[in-house]
Amino acid sequence: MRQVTLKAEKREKTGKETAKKLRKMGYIPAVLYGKALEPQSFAVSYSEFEKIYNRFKGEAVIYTLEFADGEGQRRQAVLKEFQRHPVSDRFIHLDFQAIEEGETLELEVPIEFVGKPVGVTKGGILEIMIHELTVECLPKDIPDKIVVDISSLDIGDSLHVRDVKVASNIKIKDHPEETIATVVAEEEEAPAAETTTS
Amino acid sequence: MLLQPKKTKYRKSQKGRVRGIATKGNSLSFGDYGLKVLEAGHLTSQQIEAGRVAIVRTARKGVKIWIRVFPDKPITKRPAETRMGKGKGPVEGYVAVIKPGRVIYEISGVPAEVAKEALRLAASKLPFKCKIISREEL
Repeated sequence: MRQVTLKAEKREKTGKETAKKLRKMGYIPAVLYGKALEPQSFAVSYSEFEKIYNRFKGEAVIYTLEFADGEGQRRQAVLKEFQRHPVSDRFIHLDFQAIEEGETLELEVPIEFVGKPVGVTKGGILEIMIHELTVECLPKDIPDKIVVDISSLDIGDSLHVRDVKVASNIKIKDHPEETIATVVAEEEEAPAAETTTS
Repeated sequence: MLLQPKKTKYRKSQKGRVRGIATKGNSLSFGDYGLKVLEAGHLTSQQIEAGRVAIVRTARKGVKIWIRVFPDKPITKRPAETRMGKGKGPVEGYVAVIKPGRVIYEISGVPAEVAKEALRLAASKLPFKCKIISREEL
């Protein structure tokens, strides 16, 4: 689990006009919330956040938010959710959840698939349904990723949430019957040539 | 087979205008690579099929394709050399209303270079500027 520091600037004003101005100035509006915490609006530098996000993509990261408002307040948090612009795919808003010592938190952890399924070598197609699992654990136990071995999957076989083995201090919140990955036989695609227009 | 509704409540629809950006269907949901549209307009069933065929021909074996749009809007056209009036013309085909940001195709099961080439060729069949998105880059 990675720990990174991110500079945060408190903001008093909220609303879309302020948010738009912030984005123009190179910031991302963000919010920090937690169990025993009043939701706090702030902004982070776009370039700084993007650099961190791209560097530690696919890993669980704990952010230490450093508020630059004189008091020098520091707060540990996880990135709970982010919003991207539908067209440009730029970040437009970030949600951070504060970490409370001794309290469990729920977050999404990426799944890493290892091995080549037997079914794929026989001509099947690997279909991945879920790329992330929702887990509940203590902040110190947050896994970087959940490694799943799919090499034994034959054509028609599926891997479900119940089949995933994780450490005893981590609880998977997804439904046990949910399918993570399946190997399906290749469909007979409608041949390319007979696209007719009447 | 061209995509079109099995049955419709009303035979013809008004033209309408395409405003705003896609608030739904704007991210990858199934595949590893996708084609995102950057402009607004209508996409006909023929264009959707042409793009699909381009992907199938390029990616060949092992590709899984998801078409994320469906042409459900009837488009009418007056027959050639007809005088004005005498009511609205017959239905000529169906289109999907596309807003900027909409993902049209998603694919998986092929290497990155093949997937990108297939989507590039599919994009050239569409009447919009497009960009290729992938799960690794987002």
